[in-house]
Amino acid sequence: MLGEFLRNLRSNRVLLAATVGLAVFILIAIFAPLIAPHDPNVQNLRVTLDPPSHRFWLGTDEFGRDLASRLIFGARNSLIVGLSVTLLSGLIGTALGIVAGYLRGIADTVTMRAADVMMAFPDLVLALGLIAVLGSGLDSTIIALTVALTPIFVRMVRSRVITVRTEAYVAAAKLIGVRPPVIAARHIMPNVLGGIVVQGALTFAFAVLGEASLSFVGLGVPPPAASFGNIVAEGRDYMIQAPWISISGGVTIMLIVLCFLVLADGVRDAIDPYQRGH
Amino acid sequence: MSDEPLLKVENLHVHFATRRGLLASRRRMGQVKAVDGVSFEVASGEAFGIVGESGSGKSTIAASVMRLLRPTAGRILIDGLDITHLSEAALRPLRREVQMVFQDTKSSLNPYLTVEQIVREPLITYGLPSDRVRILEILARVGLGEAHIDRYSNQLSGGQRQRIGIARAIALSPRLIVADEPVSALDVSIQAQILNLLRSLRKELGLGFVLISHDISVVSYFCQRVGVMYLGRLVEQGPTASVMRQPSHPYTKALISAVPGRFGARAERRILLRGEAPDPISPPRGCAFHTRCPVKMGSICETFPPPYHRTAGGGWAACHLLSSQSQIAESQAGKVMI
Repeated sequence: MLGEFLRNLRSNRVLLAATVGLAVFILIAIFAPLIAPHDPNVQNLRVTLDPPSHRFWLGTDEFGRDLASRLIFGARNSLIVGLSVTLLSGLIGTALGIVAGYLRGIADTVTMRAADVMMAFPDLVLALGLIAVLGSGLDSTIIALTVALTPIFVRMVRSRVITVRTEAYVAAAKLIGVRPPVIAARHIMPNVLGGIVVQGALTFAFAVLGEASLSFVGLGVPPPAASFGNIVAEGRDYMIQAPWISISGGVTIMLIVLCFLVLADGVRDAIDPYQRGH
Repeated sequence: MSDEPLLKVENLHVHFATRRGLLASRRRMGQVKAVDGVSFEVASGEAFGIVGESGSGKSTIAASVMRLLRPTAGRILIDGLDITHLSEAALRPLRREVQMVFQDTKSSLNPYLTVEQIVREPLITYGLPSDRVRILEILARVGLGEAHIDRYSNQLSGGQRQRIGIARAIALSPRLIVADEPVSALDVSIQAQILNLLRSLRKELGLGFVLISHDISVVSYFCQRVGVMYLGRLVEQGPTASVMRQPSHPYTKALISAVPGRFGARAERRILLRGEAPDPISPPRGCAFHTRCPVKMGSICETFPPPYHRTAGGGWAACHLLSSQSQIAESQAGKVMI
């Protein structure tokens, strides 16, 4: 699988660019304090709304804070939220989906009706409601988005498991006498994995956007800490005088999500046996 | 024990409940009698064929024999041992004896495994030697070799995939193979190859076969004995040669007359059945075939299920027409609900 992915990297320039791009984002997030040219939270009222320049690469915001530094630290928060939410809802969603799809019966009914109830609320409304209860902050943003995005995950994994378990190769394994845990690990899981990767990529995209949206309305990462969402939100009031604030925030969100989706597509292709040798 | 047939199916019933409604309020609306009182035997090394149109319950019989589903009533015996209600753990040692070949060659092989891994799985499951040499030996039996062992199923043709399916089935040296439409998904040119392969394996390895097909010419080519299914019941059963030459049941006659080529030489006498097979949720009263039967006698066919009669060729058939010709030999009709 890794070999297949590396082969795809060599032949697919877009995939290569996305992989490198995401790696750069992650490195920037990890080494933010070393890379950022300025302290992201220090205000300098003499240089408010400065356009991009040699000194301030991406300009400054209304308080004279260096936008590049704020984006670099914002990437930290966005990636933490995105990756944590993807990991958590991926684990919970996969576990519940497999249980529901494999056992069916009462376990399936209970899980799916619970998922239905949660999916009846729009994702962001559900997240907003949870944050209202939990209070704002990085932790509650992660919890709220995980709760909001897990039901779709459960549903997707369950339906894949139901499809795969009726395949003749699962029956064949059963007839050979292969034990159920081995059947689940060897025959069902790999065939569900492709769907999990794609759903994980979507979850990541929704989580990054969700965090930005929540921060935009002031409920995500609390100021003065930087996040893509609150950078876009703060820039909104100065769209005419200082468009670079909102634009740089928005473009960064777009780039991260795009890189991740392209990468997930590449991973899916690498594990898809029907793409093998093409 | 030795005079017990390899496989004996006694008065098998498989009914599925049809339900309507949501959640706990789902009500049983009725039931589909997918298999409704089927009995047959397969001797060691013998091939028994089951023919019938789609929905007649052929595959349900296969799934029951393999215990992929639990029969509603009746018994299934392997070597005289009743497996009808055995637990999955108790079935496990028997799984080695009975293997299955599937219709859909694509769905029957896990796309994430190589040919080597697929054929190795049954061997490692029972702790048997499974080195590459052994795998190649098994592959050689189905006409494949070194060139195929490292491939994935999507890199193989339909015929090659079916050969892998057969290799997996014979890896454990079973004594009975249930083949559910093993060639119907394949090109006609490949069908003959696969049938010849199965036939030579049957002879070399002394395998018993239950071969299920909608194509009576496939069954007649492969099997010593044949059973004809209609709407969940066997309407005729007997040695293939005599059933083909001298069918007793009007449905069998219609099936045989529909085969082009060898049997179609008598094309002018082709019997056309009108309409579709009836809905198995509400099968016709009396003889299930009376709605389409070209030689229906009258109210007796609509009222009473026909008893089984011995036929001249050494089999039996269930048709009222035979009542005047021979005496009731073996009547299970009393058990069949009207």
